[in-house]
Amino acid sequence: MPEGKTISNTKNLKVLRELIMAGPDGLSASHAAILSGLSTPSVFRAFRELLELGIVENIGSVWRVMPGNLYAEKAAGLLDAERYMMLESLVRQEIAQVERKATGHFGLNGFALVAFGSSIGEEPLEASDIDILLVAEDPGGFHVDTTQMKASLSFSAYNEIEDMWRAGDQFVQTTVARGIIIRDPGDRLARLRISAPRRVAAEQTLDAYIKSYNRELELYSRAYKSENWEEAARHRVKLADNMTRQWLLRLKVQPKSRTELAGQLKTLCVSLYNAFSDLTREVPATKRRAEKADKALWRYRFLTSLLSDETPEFQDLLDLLYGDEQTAEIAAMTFLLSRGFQVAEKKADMLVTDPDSGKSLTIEVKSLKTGLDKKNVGIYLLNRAGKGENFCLVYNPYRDIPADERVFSVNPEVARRAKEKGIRLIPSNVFFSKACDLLIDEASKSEWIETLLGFTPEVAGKPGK
Amino acid sequence: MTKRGREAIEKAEAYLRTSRSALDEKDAHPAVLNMFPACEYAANVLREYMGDKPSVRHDAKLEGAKRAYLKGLITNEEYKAYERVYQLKPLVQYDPYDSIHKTKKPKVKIDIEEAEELFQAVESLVGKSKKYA
Repeated sequence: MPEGKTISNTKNLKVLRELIMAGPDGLSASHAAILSGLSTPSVFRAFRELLELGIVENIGSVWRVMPGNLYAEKAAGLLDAERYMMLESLVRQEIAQVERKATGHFGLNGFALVAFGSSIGEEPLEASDIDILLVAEDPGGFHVDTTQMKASLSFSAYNEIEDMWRAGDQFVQTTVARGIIIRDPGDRLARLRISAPRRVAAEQTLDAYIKSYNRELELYSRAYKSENWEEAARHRVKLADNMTRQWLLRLKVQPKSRTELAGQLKTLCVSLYNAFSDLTREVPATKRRAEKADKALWRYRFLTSLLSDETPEFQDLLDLLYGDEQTAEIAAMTFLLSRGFQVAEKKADMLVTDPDSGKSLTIEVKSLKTGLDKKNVGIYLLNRAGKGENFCLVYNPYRDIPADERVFSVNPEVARRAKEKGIRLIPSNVFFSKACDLLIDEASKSEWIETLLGFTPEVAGKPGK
Repeated sequence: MTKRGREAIEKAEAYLRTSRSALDEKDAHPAVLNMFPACEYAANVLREYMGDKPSVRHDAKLEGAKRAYLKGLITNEEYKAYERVYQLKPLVQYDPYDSIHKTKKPKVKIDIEEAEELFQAVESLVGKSKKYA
């Protein structure tokens, strides 16, 4: 082993963990930095050390685990063991009971076990169900009663898992890639996680969610009609969950576990987040509450449909989040025109006026591959930005990274200089969220202008040298 | 009838209504699934009547029903129905991922006739426990 280079260095492990999670598509250094919470130079150092150890490789700007690397598979097992130990004892107990029973039934090496879902998510939910995938050649009539009966088992054979993975099945890919692999004889699942290309069949996944939504709706309606408020509430939460997943998928964002969905929504659309939180809040299951929540459910349905490709303007908003500079700029302009603003182009800026109130602001859109959390990027942009009264610099950071995983905060020094120059910094997620408010008539044009002018970006990080 | 007892019976009856509605539509799995909480609310009422505290544990509630049967508070048929629903619950549980992936569930056959029979017995169990609420 090269002197001083170890896998067990904490930073190396953190980086390796994110690379393992990312699979063979790998990560750029800035994406790995965001996910691991480390600085980009620390990530580069870790990449280089892991490269010298032969555990990772880089192709252009993308870094990934060396396919077939035995030690990476072992390290993945170690990282899973750590996550398992962090689970609450009830969850571990239930998993252990399933594991013991399965060992008795299939033999020590006859099955693999993966825990997945909200009970093992980043912010574990007080688990109503503990989702477990059991992989065995012939699950046959295997059945297990755990003490709390919370373990919810799915069964599959190895070849089915591999076929489904290849076919782009989102469930299988998410379960194996993000779940905790408890048992894995021959490291077959670990190998799949590290080396098998991940291509989610988006249309197929969406269709499956729609089918699942329809069944859930049937069960909800039945519970509601029979005045079973407790059961209706349970299905209502599942419906809200399902609609949110569909919405995120349409936004090219991979939905995470149930507890993380709210955070994903909050980053992208505050109005939807508020509606979702209202729907999923635990309240006593009474008739009055159920009637109120039923209205909220249909409103949520309405909002998620309106904020989708069923509304042509929504496509413009997606372009704003993912498009390059020119595409993002045109998208912002087209959107604002479609909402009844007057837009006058002047060089790289646009003067946006509400014809009713006469209020106006100047917008310049910058779509970036990095973020304003980096001082040098921010200062460069500020120096090049236009000027004028009510000037807003809409910055779309890390455009190649999924919109829910980006860093939108601004370096404190950048924020200070922007204030000095009278430039308002508006992150694209806030612009997107406020634009959604215009689409769903949550805000008038004049309120929209006022909100943007009054916005202060979140500041994070060190001012830098 | 105590407040807690009344609320438990109201909830058990609500689950029975949902189960009945599923049976009417020949939808056996949710019918059985909705019988499970009905049995559990009834079992906690019986536990309280026998001097125990209501429990959140599924096994403790089933065990409570068994003692209620041994004391003659409920019939063998009612207890057996609860036991069968308990066994079936993990197998009939609707999983939102069911339609997303095609993994195999263990083969379980619950025909609508068996579900109907279970319903009659569970309805009777809830009716019995109402007397002790």
